[in-house]
Amino acid sequence: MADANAILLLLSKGHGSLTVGGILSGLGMGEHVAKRTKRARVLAALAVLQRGGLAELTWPKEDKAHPGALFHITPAGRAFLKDGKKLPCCRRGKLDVPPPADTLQQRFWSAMRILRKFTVPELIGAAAKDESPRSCRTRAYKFLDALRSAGVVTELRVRGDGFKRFALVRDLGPHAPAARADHLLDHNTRETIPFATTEAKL
Amino acid sequence: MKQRHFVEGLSNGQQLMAAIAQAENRAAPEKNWILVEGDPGFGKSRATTRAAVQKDARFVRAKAGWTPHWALADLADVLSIPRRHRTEDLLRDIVIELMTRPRMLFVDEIDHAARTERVLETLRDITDQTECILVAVGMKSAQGLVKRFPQIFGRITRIVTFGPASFDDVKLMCTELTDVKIADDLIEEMRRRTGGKLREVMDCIARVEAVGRKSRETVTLASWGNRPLLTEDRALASQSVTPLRAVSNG
Repeated sequence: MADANAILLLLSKGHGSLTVGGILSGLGMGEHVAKRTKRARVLAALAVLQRGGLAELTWPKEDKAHPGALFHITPAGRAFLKDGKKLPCCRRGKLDVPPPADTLQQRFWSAMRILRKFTVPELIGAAAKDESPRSCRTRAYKFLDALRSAGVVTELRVRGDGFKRFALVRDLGPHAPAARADHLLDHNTRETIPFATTEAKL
Repeated sequence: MKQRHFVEGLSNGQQLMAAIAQAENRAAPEKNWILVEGDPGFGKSRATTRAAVQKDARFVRAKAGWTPHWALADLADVLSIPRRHRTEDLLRDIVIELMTRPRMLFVDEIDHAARTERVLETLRDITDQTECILVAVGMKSAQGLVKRFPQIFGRITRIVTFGPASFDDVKLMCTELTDVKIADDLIEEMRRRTGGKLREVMDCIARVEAVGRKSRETVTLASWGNRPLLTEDRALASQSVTPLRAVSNG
């Protein structure tokens, strides 16, 4: 993907609207990259800007001078630049986010990624530090409840010792997702995963 | 039993943490491998998983058919970087990732990787370039397998061998896992009968605790008597009883 920040800056300069071809020549992307690839990368970055409300697209059919789509910077985009903000870097769909904080939930998530199949005591055994056992257990079940509702974790057969077993079926990445009221927020891609059912509890 | 899920301070786990601390403060940057070996049942998986989580390390399991490319692809997955078709691109991306965000690597089942020199050499390439610590975890035979390659063996800063739990370990587990007082002679009997295997020791503690709660006294070897201590003791005890049907038929 092309640098969305560079495109936003380019759109803010000049007369404020550019075609994809104009953006391509303005960015001066490397000669070794195929034209089709360059175009796809620019379009992917423009999609990010559009989703964020920072740029918009118009399709001036009547205007013979501009046969293709025109991209404009929006007032929100100008304000974004004025505030000195930057969009997070994107590398093949994965956001370049800072390393995760050392929280109990993050450690639970790391343990799940290692163990793949686990019981709650196993999870706590790997992740707990100074937290009380009771608090660990409550938080583990709450987190697992959210993960299960979002389809990230599935429940397996109960083991001989009576503990429920779980399996991680969707590895979202190194950052632990955060549970919200009706969805799971994936911090690796900033995507939301809606809960399938909210009434099913552990 | 107390709701504890991990006992800190067991000798094997302490050895592992000391080895990691030693590797973190090493003088020679290229001596950044730690070899963890031991027979099953001595808490190797538990201790290494816990160490990996606590140190925010990346943990990968070696596979029986690992090739350098497969190994690198698995490493790319745990580091959350995209897989590449060319091995050299994959290696370069992994090195860049580990140099920008240094992390410890845990490779479980190193015995699989140690069967082919090329996989071990690929891992050595990564640790030499990035100077990150690699904890190789394997069975008791892992040391012998790695020893065949002096250039790899020379990278090992410390070998941690997971052995049977000592008397002090079992005593610590009894203190941490139950409120019931258990006498030293019974602790020693538990250690002897279980062969120092942690899972078995935990089972024993649960059984002793059930008796201790009723009597509300310190459980000694004498007060324990002939009660079954291990699961196999129970099985033997049930076998020794003649089934009623057999008696009636006879």
